[in-house]
Formats: sequence, C-alpha cells, structure tokens
Amino acid sequence: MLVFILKRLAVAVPTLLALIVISFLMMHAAPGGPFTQEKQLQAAVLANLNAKYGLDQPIWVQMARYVWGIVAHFDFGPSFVYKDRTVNEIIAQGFPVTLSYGAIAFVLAVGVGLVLGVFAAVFQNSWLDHLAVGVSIGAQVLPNFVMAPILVLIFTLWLGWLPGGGWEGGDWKHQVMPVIAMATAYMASIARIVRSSMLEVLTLNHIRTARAKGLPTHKVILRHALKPALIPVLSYLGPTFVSMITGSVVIDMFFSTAGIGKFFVDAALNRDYALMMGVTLLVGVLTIVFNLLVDVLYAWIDPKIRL
Amino acid sequence: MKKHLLLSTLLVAVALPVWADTNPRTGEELADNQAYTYRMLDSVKSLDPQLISSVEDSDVARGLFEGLFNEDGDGNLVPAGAVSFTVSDDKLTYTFKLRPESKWSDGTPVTAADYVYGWQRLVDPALASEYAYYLELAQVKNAAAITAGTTPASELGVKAVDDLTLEVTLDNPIPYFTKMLTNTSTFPAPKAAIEKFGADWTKPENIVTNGAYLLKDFVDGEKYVEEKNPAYWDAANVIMSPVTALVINDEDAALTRYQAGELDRTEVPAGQYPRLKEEFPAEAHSTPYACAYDYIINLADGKGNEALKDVRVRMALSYAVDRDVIVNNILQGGQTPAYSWTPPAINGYVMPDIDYSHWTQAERNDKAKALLAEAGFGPDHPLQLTLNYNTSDAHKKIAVAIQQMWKQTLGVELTPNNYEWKVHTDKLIAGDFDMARYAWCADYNEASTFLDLYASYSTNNDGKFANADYDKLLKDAKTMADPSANYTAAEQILAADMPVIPIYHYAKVDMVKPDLKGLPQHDVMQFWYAKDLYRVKQ
Amino acid sequence: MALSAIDMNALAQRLARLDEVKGRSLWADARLRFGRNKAAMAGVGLLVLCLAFAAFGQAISPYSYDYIDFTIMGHAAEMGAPDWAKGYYFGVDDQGRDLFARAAMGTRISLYVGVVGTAISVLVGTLYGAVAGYVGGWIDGLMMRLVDVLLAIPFMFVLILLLVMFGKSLGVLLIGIGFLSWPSMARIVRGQTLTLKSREYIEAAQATGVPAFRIILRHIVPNLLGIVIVYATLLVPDIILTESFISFLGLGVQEPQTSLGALISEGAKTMRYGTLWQLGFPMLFFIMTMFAFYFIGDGLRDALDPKDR
Repeated sequence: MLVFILKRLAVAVPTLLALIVISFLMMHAAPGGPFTQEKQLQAAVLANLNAKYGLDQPIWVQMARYVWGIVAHFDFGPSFVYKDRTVNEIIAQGFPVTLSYGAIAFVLAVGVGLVLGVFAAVFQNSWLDHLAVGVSIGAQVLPNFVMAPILVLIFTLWLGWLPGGGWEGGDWKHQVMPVIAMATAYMASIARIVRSSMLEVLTLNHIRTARAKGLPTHKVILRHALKPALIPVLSYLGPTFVSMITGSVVIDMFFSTAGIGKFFVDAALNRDYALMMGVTLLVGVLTIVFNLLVDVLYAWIDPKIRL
Repeated sequence: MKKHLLLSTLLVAVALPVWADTNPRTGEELADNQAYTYRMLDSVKSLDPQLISSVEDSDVARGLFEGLFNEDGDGNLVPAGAVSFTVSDDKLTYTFKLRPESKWSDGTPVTAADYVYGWQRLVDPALASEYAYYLELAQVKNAAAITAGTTPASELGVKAVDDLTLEVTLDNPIPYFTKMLTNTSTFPAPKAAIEKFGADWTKPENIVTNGAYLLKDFVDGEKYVEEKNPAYWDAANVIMSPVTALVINDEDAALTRYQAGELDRTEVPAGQYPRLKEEFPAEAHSTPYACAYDYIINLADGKGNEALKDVRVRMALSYAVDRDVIVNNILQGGQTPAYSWTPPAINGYVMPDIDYSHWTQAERNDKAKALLAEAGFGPDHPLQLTLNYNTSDAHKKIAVAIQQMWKQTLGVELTPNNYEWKVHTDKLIAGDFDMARYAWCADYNEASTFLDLYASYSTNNDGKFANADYDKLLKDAKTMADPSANYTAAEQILAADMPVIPIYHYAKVDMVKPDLKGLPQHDVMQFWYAKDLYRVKQ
Repeated sequence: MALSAIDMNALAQRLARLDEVKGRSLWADARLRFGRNKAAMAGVGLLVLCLAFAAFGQAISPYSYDYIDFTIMGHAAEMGAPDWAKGYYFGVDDQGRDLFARAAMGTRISLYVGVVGTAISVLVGTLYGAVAGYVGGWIDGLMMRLVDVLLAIPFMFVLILLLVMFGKSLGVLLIGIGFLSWPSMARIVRGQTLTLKSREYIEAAQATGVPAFRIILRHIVPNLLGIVIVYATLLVPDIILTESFISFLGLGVQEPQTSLGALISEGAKTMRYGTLWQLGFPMLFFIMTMFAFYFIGDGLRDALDPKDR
C-alpha cells in the first residue's frame, strides 16, 4: 500500500508540471492580456508593465520563474489585476470561504442523498421510489443560477430570515443559502447513484438469503448491503468533493461570498495569469490528492481490490 | 496602550455629530443612524492612488485620500488640499498654496513634498502605473520622457518650493489643467509608509491616509469599510460613518438586497427604471453621466469593410438607428439619444445644431434608404456587415435591436459578434472589425476628453478616422482661452463624416434611500464624496 | 461529469461476460424489456415531443426567432404575455421577440449540443480506451497517465479558455465539451478491452494475422456497444447542463441564436420583473429533455443488464 501511495505521488509531480505547461500555453494563447483595455495604454506604459510583471521574457523563462517561485518560496506571484494583493493572499482569503460552504454542502449532499437513495432502492417501484427519483432528477436539472435568485427572493425579500449575501467571516446565516444552492444538484446525483448500486446489491444472493431468513430490512441494509453499495459512490465522491470545496462562480456571484469560485472565472476573463495559474494548481493538486484518497479507501473497504 | 488611546479619541469624534443632531452646514435634522452601505460591481483592484484605474476604486479612494481639489455637487472645483493657486502669465507655471492644517492619519502634516513624491511615483517606470499617461495628458513637463525611461523622475515639472507651496511647470498651456486635479492619480502619497511596507502599504493595518476616512476593513471581493478620520482637517463637518462598500456582481441580486434593506444605494438594471420610479418615486433617480455609447466604424486602409468607406453608407446606417427605441424601450433609465459624440452635459460645451437630430425617424429612414440605394446597395445586392460587441446584457439587447432596425428598414444583413471583454478590446486595437461597440467616459469634465479621441494622432482612435481640419481645431483649442467654438466645429465634422455612429449618452440610474442626502445632483462626472453625505431624520 | 465510472464498469463487465452468440438474443431481449419499462417509454414519449418541437416549432410560429416587435419591446411585462390571437403562444421576451420560436430554436440547439457533444466524447473515448487496452504495455501506461493529467485539469477552466481563445461559436463549444468529457469513457473502455483481449475469437483473429486496428473495430468495439449506449444516453443531459452554465457565463451561442440555457438564464434575470413566462416555458422544455434522457438511460441500463437472468 505504501509503495502504491509513493508511486502515485511520484506520478503526481510530472502531472502537475504538465498541468502548468498546458495551462500556461493556453492562457498566453488567448487573445488580449492582463493590461489590454479600452483606453489603450501607451507603448511606454505597457512596456513598463510588462517589465514589472516579467511578461517581456520568453514564455519558457516565465514558466521556469513561476515554478521556481513556487518550489523555492511557495510564492505564486503577484496578481496582475488586483494590484494590492498577491495570489497567495487571494487564495488564503477565498479558499477558506468555499471550503467552508463546500464542505458543509458536501456533508449535507452525501447524507441526504444516501438516505434518499437507499429508501428509493429498498422500496423500489413504490410511490416513495417514484417520488425520490422525480425529486432527485428535478433537483439535478434545476440550474443553480435559477435556484440562487429564487432562494434570495424567498428567504431575504419575502420572509426576511436571512441576509441576501455577504460572508461576514462565515457567520451561519450567511452560509445557509450558499450551502443549499451548492448541495442540491450533488445530492440528487448521489441519490441516483446510491439507488442504482443499492438495487444491484439487493439482488445478490447472500442479501436475498438474509432477507428470506426474516432478518429485518433495516438490519440487512445496515449490516450487509450498505458497504458494498457504497463502493461505486466513492469514486464519484472524490472529484465531487474537490469541485464542491473549490466553490462555484454562480454561488459566489449571487451570494457575494467572495470565494475562490468567482476569482477563478474572473481571473480567466481578466487574463490575470498568475491568479489563474494559482487557482488551477490548487484544483489540480486537490484533485490528485482526493483521487488518491479514494483509491486508498477502496482498498480499505474492499480488500479484494489490489492497488 | 497606544491603540486604546486612538480608539477612545475615535469614539468621541464619531459620537460628536450624533449629539449635535443637525447638519452643521445645512441645519437639517439628522437621523440617529449615519451608516452608509452601497453596492460595488467588482472587487477593488487597488487603493493606491497612483495605481487606481477604475471608477469604483476611485469612489473608495476619494474617501481615504484627498488631492488639491474636490468637486461639488454641480461639478465645480472646491479647494481641498490646496487653499488657493496662481497661474503665471504664460499659463505654464501653477503655484498652489497648500492647506496648513491638513494631516496624514499618522499625525504628520501633508506637505508639498508628498505631492511631488506622488506625482513622481505616478510616472515612474518602476511603479508601472496604467495611469502614468495622465500627467502627460496634463502637459506636465517631462512626464512622457520619464515614463519612457529616458529621464529620471526627479526631472518632472513639479517642485516643493516650501512645505506648503507646490509649483507645477507645464510644457504647453492647457485651459482645463486644474480640472484634471480631482483624479486620484494626482493625489499626494505618504512616502514613509510606502517605503516601509512596499506593495503592502494599502492593507488596513499599514495604510496612512489624509482624507476624511480611515480604512477599517478590507475583505477582497466582499466588502470595504471606512470609518471617520478624526484627524481630518474638516472632521467637524463629516457626518457619515461607517461607509461600507459591498461587492455584488449581479445587479438584480443587488436590487433585491436593496429592497430587503441591506443597501442604501444600488444601480437600477436596464429597463427597470420606469417600474421602480412608479413604485418608489422618492428612491429612483436618474442623472446625466459623462459617458457616450457608440458604434465605431473601421476606416483604416485595407481593414474593415470596404462599403463602410463610403460616407453615404455610414450616414444611412446612422440615420436608420432609431435611438428613441433604444433609450425608451431598452434602457428606459433617462439616457438621452445621441446625435453627437460629446455628451451635452459636459461643462462649457455647446452642442452644435445637428440637422438629423430634428428629423422624425420616418424622415431619417427615407433618407437612409435613398443614401444606401445611391451607394449601390439594394434588395438584390444587400449590404453585409459584422458588428463586434463585448459580453453584457445591455450591449446584447442594443446590438440585436439595431440588427433588426437595419434589417427591417434597410435590408442590411448584420451579424452581431459577441466577444468577451479582452478579446473585444484586442480586436479593437488590432483594427480587426467592421463596426464595434465603444464607450468612453470622461477623464475630466471638459469636451476635449471626448473629442481628442478621434484626432488622427490619438492612440485611442481605433477606427483610424483622419481629418486634417478636425486635428487643427483640436490642436488650436489647447491654447485658447475659450475653446468651445472649436469643439462645436469639430463635432460638426464628426456629424458630416460619420466615423462613429453615436447612440446614446449615459445616465446614472440609481435607487437611493430617501433619507440619504448629499449625492451629486448635477455633476456629470458623478464624483461623490462620502464626507458630504448625511441622513436626515424622517 | 456526474456519471459514475465504477457503476458503469460493473455493468460493462457483466455485458462482456456474454459471448457474441448470446449477444444477439440479448438485444432482442433488451428491446422487449425496454418496451415494458413504463418510465423509459414515457421518456421516449417526452423525447419525441421535444424533438418535434425542436424540428417544427419555428415553422409553426408566425414569427421568426429574431424578429423584434418594436411596439412590445421593453414592455413585455404589460404587453408580452402569451397571446394566442396574436400568435405569441408562449408570449414574448423583454426584447419583443416571440418566445415560442425562440424556445424551439433553443431546444434544437441544446439537443444538438448534447447529442453531438456526446458523440464526439464517446467516439474519442471509445477508440482511445480500446487502443490503449488492446495495445497494452508502456503505450497503455503512457496513454492512461495522459488521461490522469486531463482529469486533473479543471474542466470549466479549459472550456472557458477554449471559448476565449477561438471565439465563441457552436463549433468550439461542441468540440470543447466533447473532447473534455472523453477521459472517463476511455477508462471504462480500456478496462473492458483488457477483459475482451484474452477471448478466444480475438486470439484466433490475431493468429490469422488480422491487423490490430481492424480487430479493435470489428471485434472489440461492437462488444462494447451496450455500455457505450447507456453511457451516451446519460451523458447527453450532463452536456446540456454544462452548456447552460456556459450560457449563463455569456460564453454560449451567439445572439440572436439561443439555447435553452441562455433562455433560462435570461428568464431567471427577469423573473422578478413580471415576465415569468420567460423562465417558465424554456424551463419546461429543459426539464422535459432532461427527464427524457435520464429515463431512457436508466431504462436502457436495466434492459441491457443481464444480471436478472
């Protein structure tokens, strides 16, 4: 197992390098730069800016400097657009925000999705099942850019229970709506996956036997069926967790939560090269780590799987 | 200990006006709550006066810092950091007397050296400010050479004669020099703090300011909080505190939060003004704003669409745009149809009499059809064009409407191409367009900020319009005591040659809580100063 | 992509366990079972409805999708409600354009993006996975590492950059979505190919000197058909959802063309301003399309899955 983990980590390094190279090239290939603007900059001004941010160097020098900055100083560079901030500072401020609402939403989505999926499977083809399937598909197809303004209308304008946006250091009132908007679609997917994998497990012989022997359904489910049914869900949860804790531009936009999701899209549209790279690397590293974690979990749950 | 002391003086200072209960300037009775919260579209990019390049950052910075002049609610200059000034006879040397009681928040006085430092910093290649060109625009001596790196910053035409006397030398006289000094890039800079903290000096824990407010909180992308500065020279007249800017990207979300009472001021989404005005007559406001919206036409040799090089085609296209539909049916916020480039509300500008502005739309359409036919386009030979515009709901609506207007009236086949902002700008600069959406907001309250754009030597003349008479009028205007006749004549040339299709002039359309007073009523620059705001008792 | 790879793997394994002869009866069997599945048949019904709307909606409407009625423009809340007499069956949008024609065009484009995007993704994924699995060795290792790298790159980031780089157009969007969603398909197919490779008929083909590429096309890919179809059906709604998000960001199709995502995004913006039909009708077709594909996908999976026998 240890060898496996080490091997995977060794592969992660070239993977990240490839990620840096691909992103760097794509970014610089996009038309316009961080200083392209309607009131066109004079040549001298632009030259000064390029010199200040190292954009006057060949692209491979820029790349090498970038990588060296990270390796030697854990420095992701200054933001090209938010001039008073470095990328480290922006991520240090924005990531905890999405991590907070994303992680809570994750717990909620997994919890509710699991229960919904299991019930739907156990009572297959009953009204409960149809309801659960209907609700989960409905939840999955309701785009969060429709859901977010509806939530604000209901809870802020009509009921006056919750503030319509802001973060305020993570005060719970400011987290409720982002969490709901984030969790819904994921909850629905999880419910659907759990349902189908549970249905599959329930047809296995030893489960059938256990049920035939008169063991109460909830005991069969908890003792025998749940664990194998969860295996397919696991592989879905790794990448899902990452995309949830790195936030969503829609949520950061509608609820003004100042999370990393918004900075990410802004950075791409503003050509804020350093910030874009920073967030891309963050997502890349998290993805690699959690995929690895999922594989390790697999082996732990099901010893038959060889790593 | 030191912190404690500061805090208690602060509390006293903040509490004072509340005890006073009336506005010392107007005598109006004040509300108990003097907090102000407004919506910001986007995160602050910089609070460093010399690095600021966006309107919204300036709004925040004008609370924190103060330059030589402010603007009042009508757009007139008001002495701020300067108490008076004199101009030499050749109009090349300006001498400003500074306000002796003006202090930085660390207790040191604001001196002429702070202005010199700020201005040198602005043009210094090492700082690489996007606004470095501003002093060149203001004709300050050696500004361009310093930015280009050929002359040291110490050679800039600005000098501290003594602590309270600032002397500025220009290369050429310009009539509106002092008007340019309300821009944050010309503000003084606290040398000690900047040298100590470097790029981190604008962080709330490091920042040193000379304005009416102190920066209390800075959460990127979420909010910026300012509190009253007790050391400000005019602190007795500062009522509003704290002042909070909340970043809300979505204008509809902002409106919802305004209605839920979380904001005191927010923009009205396009098309919603009439409804809101009816529902909340005391809260919906529309005032002219010094920006112009137009479609520029690519006239560069070998670029763009050849048909557009024919002035008859350009005229036809311009005439067939029903501007009333655009302002009354799409924007609906008190914007005005534009038949000229410079907004009529600009200080000292006299609108020329442009003939087609008096015609009915039916007359314009008939004329347009005739012109286009004359130019050789008709049903069997339709004119095919493309139009570039950047991603935005309002731009999209206008482009789609104009496409239909030209199709329904002229049979022109227009393909609107939407690009995101950076691509749009890139194509503009590269001259890769037939027609492109363009908007310009005044840098200072004078017509040349608009008209200079289409001079053949202007770096922002993306359509490459070139007219020698036009250039001459503008060059001459620089040294005239009253250049308004030249501006009017230049505008006539634009109307005759039609290198741009003017569409509308902006309005600032806001929802403002009815007890909030002190926002500018007639200043087309829409500069507002938090220190002038107050809430009255209702 | 919300599809569960392992779920698919299990199904794929079971499908592969059947040999070719039984495969034929499997298809006949599956058709029968699919026909008996009420939800799946409802899905087919919905899909036919949406397809018909997409195909003929614009012809039925008296207005073209880009025609602006300037008398209504800007006053949709008061004058733009659905009006059968005027031919505005779904009302008009706030620009004075017929929503029926626009919804029809939106449905057409969304379906088109979903189906073509899926086709690209499935084609690339299947071939890539089959080649990697069949060839094996270090080439397989290299190809799979590449898949790992691609899976670590944030999908949306690349899509946004692609649209920015090449300008937004339907083509770029399709290629972007299609090429970005293939890696998970490739993984499943590779696993499957590894199992199939040791089959006797493949070994026989190899022995008689059939070229590798032909073996992949003739013997491996047909055996993957079941899993590919199920995967594809469930991928379509995912891609339609992705497109709606891209439209929300303003990077979708060019106006005056439109997609369901773009219409919904506009509708959501104006929902407070008294034009609820602008959200309602596009949303209805969006949900119908999604339900149709989910039901059909689930139905196909149940029908093709041999586990019950």
